[in-house]
Amino acid sequence: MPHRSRELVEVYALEIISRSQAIQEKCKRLLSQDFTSQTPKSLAKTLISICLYLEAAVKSIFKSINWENVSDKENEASLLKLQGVDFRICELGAHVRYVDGATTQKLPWSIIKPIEKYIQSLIPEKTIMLRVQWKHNYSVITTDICELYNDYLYEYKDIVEEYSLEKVFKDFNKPFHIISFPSLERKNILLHCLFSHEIGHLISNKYFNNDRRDKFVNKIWKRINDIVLSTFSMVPGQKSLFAPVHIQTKITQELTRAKNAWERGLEELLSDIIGVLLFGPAMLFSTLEMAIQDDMDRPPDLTNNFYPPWRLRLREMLKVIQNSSQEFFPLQKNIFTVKTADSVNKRFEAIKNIVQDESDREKIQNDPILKVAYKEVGENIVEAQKYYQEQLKDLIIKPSILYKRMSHFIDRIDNGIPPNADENSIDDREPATIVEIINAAWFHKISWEDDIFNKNGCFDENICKKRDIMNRLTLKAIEYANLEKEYRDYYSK
Amino acid sequence: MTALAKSQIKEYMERKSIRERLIVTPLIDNSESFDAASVNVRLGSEFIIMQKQSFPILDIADKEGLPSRIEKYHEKIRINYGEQFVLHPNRLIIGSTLEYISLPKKLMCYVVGKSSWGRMGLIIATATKVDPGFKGCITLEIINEGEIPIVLYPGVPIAQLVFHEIIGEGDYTGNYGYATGPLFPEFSKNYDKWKFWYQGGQISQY
Repeated sequence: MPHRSRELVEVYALEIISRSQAIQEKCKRLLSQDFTSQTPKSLAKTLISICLYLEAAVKSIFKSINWENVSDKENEASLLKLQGVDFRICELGAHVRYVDGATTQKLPWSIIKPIEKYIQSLIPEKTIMLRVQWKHNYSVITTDICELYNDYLYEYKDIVEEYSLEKVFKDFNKPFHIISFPSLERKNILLHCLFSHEIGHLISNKYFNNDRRDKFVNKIWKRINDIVLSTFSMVPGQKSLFAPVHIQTKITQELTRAKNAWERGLEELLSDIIGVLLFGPAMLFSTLEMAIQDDMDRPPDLTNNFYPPWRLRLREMLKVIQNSSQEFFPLQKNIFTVKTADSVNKRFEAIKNIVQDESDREKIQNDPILKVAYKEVGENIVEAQKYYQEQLKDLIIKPSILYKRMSHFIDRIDNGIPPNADENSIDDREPATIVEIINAAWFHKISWEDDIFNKNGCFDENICKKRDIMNRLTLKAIEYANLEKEYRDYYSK
Repeated sequence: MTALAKSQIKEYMERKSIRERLIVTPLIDNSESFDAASVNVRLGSEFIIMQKQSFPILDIADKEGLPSRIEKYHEKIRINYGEQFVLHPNRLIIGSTLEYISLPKKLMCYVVGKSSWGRMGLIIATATKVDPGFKGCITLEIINEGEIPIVLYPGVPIAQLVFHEIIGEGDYTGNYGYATGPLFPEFSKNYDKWKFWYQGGQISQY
């Protein structure tokens, strides 16, 4: 057969190796660029090592082919193996974009190290890399990339002699995940606290084990069955020969839909809750900013990856804020300025009004499958929330701590100074935390957000400059606070 | 003109009202922040470097071409703390103080290079006056006038601020306020104001 001719297979092997070398070349070029942290460099180096490994696999596979007997089944398998390597290499080629999006110039560099350190304190067993993406969304790759790459190479370990898997993964020995920021929001530091939602995904995925999934399916199976049967009983021709097949297919489909709605709904809501537990009001305000871009009541379906409606998400987050043992809201005027307290309280009331409207619930209730799935979501979330409150108890933000120095930080931003530290005197100064800085910036921003358009409806052109200054001061504050802490840690050792 | 002594500088830095306070932040290690009559400031981590190979001439009267082509002339880079920046002889880079400064309306300051660096041929600032009311990181024009390359590390003390009280009050209204890193000049903003001086536009080369 022509495609099995030695010449064609040789050409194919050459092309696979060339693709691998193109990835290595690109990674080497990226390694000469500036990165804020070592993590993207580790990924680039690992991609190079994986490509070298796969290249060795190609050579070994080619060598194993017996050209005297090309129709042999073993040779057929070798050709399939070559295609398998090629497929892996092409996939790896797409992963170069992760490194490319993590260069200093593309990222909000001043917050990368502090965020990485913050994540490290939450999930020390994992490595997280941050990068930008052109898609306007915050996202996380919950699949362990380290494990994925190990799987890529594992099947070739018996035919590659030059490299060991240990050597390939020497810089890459912990579960590895990537959090992506929208490139357009590079400087919009206030929105970046949404990364805590993405961390929430990595923390909450422990909740979804197969036992829990099975338990859910066993619990709802009967109800889904009844719903489908009742629907079919209304359709004319239900006694046709193929009706049982149709019914069974429909039950399977609806069961899958219910499972997706339940799992994705719970995943997102738990991540939101973890985000609020860690970042407090800032997380609530950031989510509102994303929610406002979308239909707040859009029910979960396949086209929106089963995202729960924004209104529901805000409602669950608000519950966490309100159920806190101490009160976040209303802000007290003896702690904050009247302007700040009034504006932030007004925003809080606006969110309360949004979630009082039950239009999202109505849409879910009108769909019998979603109704079943979300009944379970409601029950599970109470249990999961308790669990995570216990797990994260030392990191949960409390108003008594968050608000202690906040008015000083807001005052600094109001006066064009980065809110990096509480500076009572030259000798008495304490760096702010990333949570304090972002919350202070949010409270500052909300305090002037009703002045964007004047009474005549004209846009205040200076407001963009004001927003830009606020973002710059906040980014700088996070960099300063982290640097000061690192300096102190270095000399206290 | 009298300069503020250390005790007076500290007094300004500890004033209750944030508006009247002199702010130099972060004071990462105050044991090396103060001299007898100045505050030491460190080198920031962002730099603007010039790419002369891609820019034939810098003409501030070129209203159309300058803003678009200037991007080719300079590149902003960031060096991590702990990493090196090698400055070759006769090379100009734009850097900034690590510290963010907020001057009250009663104070102005001068940026003066540290003598240790000066002895190595490093010139720190050429436009050294900072007006009252200024807020931001101070841009530094850094030139290696020495014979050999000099390694710079972000975070090391590189210059000092000498403060003076002014008679009356002043408030900064320039283009470089609230800077959090080095800024390149925006001459195109002054085009209309300076148009008179650009008439003719003939080049006399010397």
